[in-house]
Parts: sequence; C-alpha cells; structure tokens
Amino acid sequence: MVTQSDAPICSPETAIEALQSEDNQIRYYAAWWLGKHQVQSAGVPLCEALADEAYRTPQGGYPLRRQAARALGQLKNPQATPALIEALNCEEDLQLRAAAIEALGAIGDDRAVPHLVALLQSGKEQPLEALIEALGSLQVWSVRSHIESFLNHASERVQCAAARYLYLLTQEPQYIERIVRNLSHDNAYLRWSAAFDLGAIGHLSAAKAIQEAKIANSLKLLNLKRILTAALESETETAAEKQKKCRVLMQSIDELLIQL
Amino acid sequence: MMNYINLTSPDGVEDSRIAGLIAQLRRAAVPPEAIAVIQDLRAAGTPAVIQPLIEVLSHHHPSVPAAAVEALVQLESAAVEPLIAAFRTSGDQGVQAYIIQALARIGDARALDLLVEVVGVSVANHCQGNVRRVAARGLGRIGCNSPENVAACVAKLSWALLSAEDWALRYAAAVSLAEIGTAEAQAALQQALSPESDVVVQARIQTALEQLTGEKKPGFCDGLGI
Repeated sequence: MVTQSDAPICSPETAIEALQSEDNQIRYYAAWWLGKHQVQSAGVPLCEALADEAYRTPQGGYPLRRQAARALGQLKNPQATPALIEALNCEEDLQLRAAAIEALGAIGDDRAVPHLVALLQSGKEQPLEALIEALGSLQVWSVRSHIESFLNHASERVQCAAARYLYLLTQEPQYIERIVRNLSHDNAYLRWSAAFDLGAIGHLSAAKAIQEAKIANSLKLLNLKRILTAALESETETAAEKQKKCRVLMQSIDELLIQL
Repeated sequence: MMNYINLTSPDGVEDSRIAGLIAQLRRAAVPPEAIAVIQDLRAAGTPAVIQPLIEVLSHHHPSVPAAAVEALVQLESAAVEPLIAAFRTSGDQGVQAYIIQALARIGDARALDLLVEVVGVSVANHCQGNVRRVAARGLGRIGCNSPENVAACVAKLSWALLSAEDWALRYAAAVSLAEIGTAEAQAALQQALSPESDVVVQARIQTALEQLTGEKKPGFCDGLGI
C-alpha cells in the first residue's frame, strides 16, 4: 500500500510528512532534505526526530538522530537549543553527540556553553574536534588553558582544532602556521580539513597557502570564498584592509576559475 | 616514390621522429615518462601530435591529462576541430572536462556552440558544475577574440549570471563579461548587480563595473583597478 508518507520528497510539506515514513532510509533522506533547504517550519518535527530512538544500527548508532541534529544546525534556529543539549546526553553514539555539538556551535546560543564546558571537563572520551570548534565559535575563552594542552594531542585534527580556537582568541600567526602545515600533509583528509579550518578563520595569509595546496579546485574556491565573505562582512576591519583583502582574494579566485 | 622522398627528406626524418615519440607515448609505463614525451611532442608542434594527445586525456593519473591539455592549448587553432570531434564521440565525462578546459583556454570561435551548450540551460547545479564554470570562462575569451560573436557570448553569460544556482558559475560569468568589456557586457553586469544575493559575487560584479567605467564608487572594493 502506498501511504501519504511515501510520496516523493519535493516540498517542505512532503519532506516533513516523510519524517514519519515506515522506511528509515526515507526518514533519513527527509531530514537531510529539510536541512539542505533550511525549512524553518521543520524545527519541531526535526527535534522529535532528534529524540527518536526507533532507527538504530546493529553497532548502536542512531543515523536519523545524527541527521536531524545536522539539519537543526543548518536551520540555525535557537529554539532547537534545549533539544540539542538533551541529545548531548547520549552516551552510546558519540557521532550523534558530535553532530549535536556542531549544531550548537552553528546556532550560537549561549545556553549551550555550560553543557559544552562540562563535556570538556568530564575526563571521558569526547568528540574533541567538534567540541573545540564549537567552543571557539561560541567564544568560550575561559577554557583557554585546557585547549592549549590539545596542541600536543595525538590526533592532528584535534591539534588543528585547538590552533583554530587559539587563533580566533589571540590572532597570533603561529596558530595559522600550524594549520597551513597540514595543507601539505600526506593524508588527503587532513589536507582538505585544514583548508576548511583556514576558510573558517578568514585570514589573508591562508589564501595563498590554500591556492597552492594539493586539494580539489572546488575546495580551494569554496574556502577562498569563505575568507572573502568574512572580509566583506567584517565590522572591525578598516576600508583599506578590506580593499587589500578583496583585491588579493578576487585575483586568486579569478585565476582558479578555468581550472577543473 | 613519394614515400621514398619523404623518408630521405628532412621532413621525413622529423615525421619518423614524431611517429617514434607517439609510439613511446602510447607505451609509456609511468606518468613521468608520459609527461616527458608530451613535452617533446609539444615542442614539435605539428598537427600529427593532436590525436595522440587527445588519447592520453583518459590517462588515470591526473598529471598526464594536465600536461596534454597544456600541449593542446599551445597548438591553438589546429587543435580546435579535433577537440570538438573528440568531445562528441567520447562518453567519458573526465575526458570531456579536459577537452572543455583546452577549448576554453584556446578561446577559438569554432568552440562557441559547444561551450554555450556546456554552460547549459538548467538553473540548478549538477555534478559537472566545474565544467560549466570553465566553459563560461571560455566564452569570455571567445568574446574577446572574435567581435562577431560578442552578442552570443554576452547572451549566454548574462543568462548564467542572472540564473545559475552555483555561485562559482555566476562569478565566472561576471569575470568573462568584464573581460569582454563591451557596452552590452557592461549592461549585463549592471543588470545583475542588485538582484545578486551572494556578497562575493556581488562584490566581483561591482569591481568589474568599476574597472569598466573607470569611476570610483563608494564601497568595500572601491577602486580595485586590477
């Protein structure tokens, strides 16, 4: 039998309806669709999906809950903050916790701060990369000394996340240099994630390094654009600083356009 | 008789050297070897090398097709028709992407219809978004090189600037319109300035207009004059 919820997902209404489908794959796709299209009216149904434990993999993960968290991060609606804080309590699926942390960082609601700090100080295994990035985005500078200790962490991703936090706080070039180093890393994943870190920082010295890195051209364009967007929208830089950044970044982007 | 003459003439010696290089290219075991042969073929600069260069666009290591694109671009006019024919017969999207890149960089008017077709008519982004962007830059070159095709180039670029979903395609269209720089190109940029929703694309349009009009207007990118 074809039910209403099996209608193709092609509008906000059909996608919200599809969150209730019998088919977990369809529910997952619906959550992705609602996030991609930033359907604000989907906030409440996505918060329900965030708490729905019915779809669980044999390994114990909750794919739908993770996707709902990511979608709520894309909606950026602070009304989802309490539901996302609740999802932080899930001990069985650290990927869900990571997705909830990222969403809280994207939303930027200060109500998340004490909960994120508590995770940092828990002494248990945490999705550190996401946690450090969210603490940076939320400008939680009180945990600085704790974050500094991660510069020597075993994971290079965690080291870069710490460098990004510390750059946002101090504006000292040494932290950018730490991330730029990874643009020439042997591991392709570390190269592209370094490009995203630099794109998020929005500093001009990163632009040249991004342009020359061995990463896909589309990633270079995207991250140069992120730096240029930050420059254009900055409220603290002078007109002369903006003008210089615009000139350099546009020249870089212009040159990359004819590359595949 | 002709064969005999060719083999003993200096041209015949050169032809057989090139034939040797082409055979070497087809046998090349590792990318550096293939690239070295491509450099030699590029220096030879005769139309005989075009087909073998097009063949290696399907090489699995990206450095090899990249070198072949460089060589094809240097052959300019002679490479245009074979590249267009190869685009039509190849079913490989990767090869087609390199062909579009070579044609875009050459900027010959014979590639106009193909590049217009690749920029496309659909608003949405799709998996070959990078190829559409490269084609849009090619239309800028064609518009510069052949005045009789300016109207067709500006029409497609103006459509892309106003309608494409992909910011990079709109940005590329703006750069190409600036490169063409005629009154109709300027009008297309002006028309797209205020509807543009992306700050980066809008800033690039603004910069292009400032370059074309030579006046400074107040704004973040005021007076970039690149």
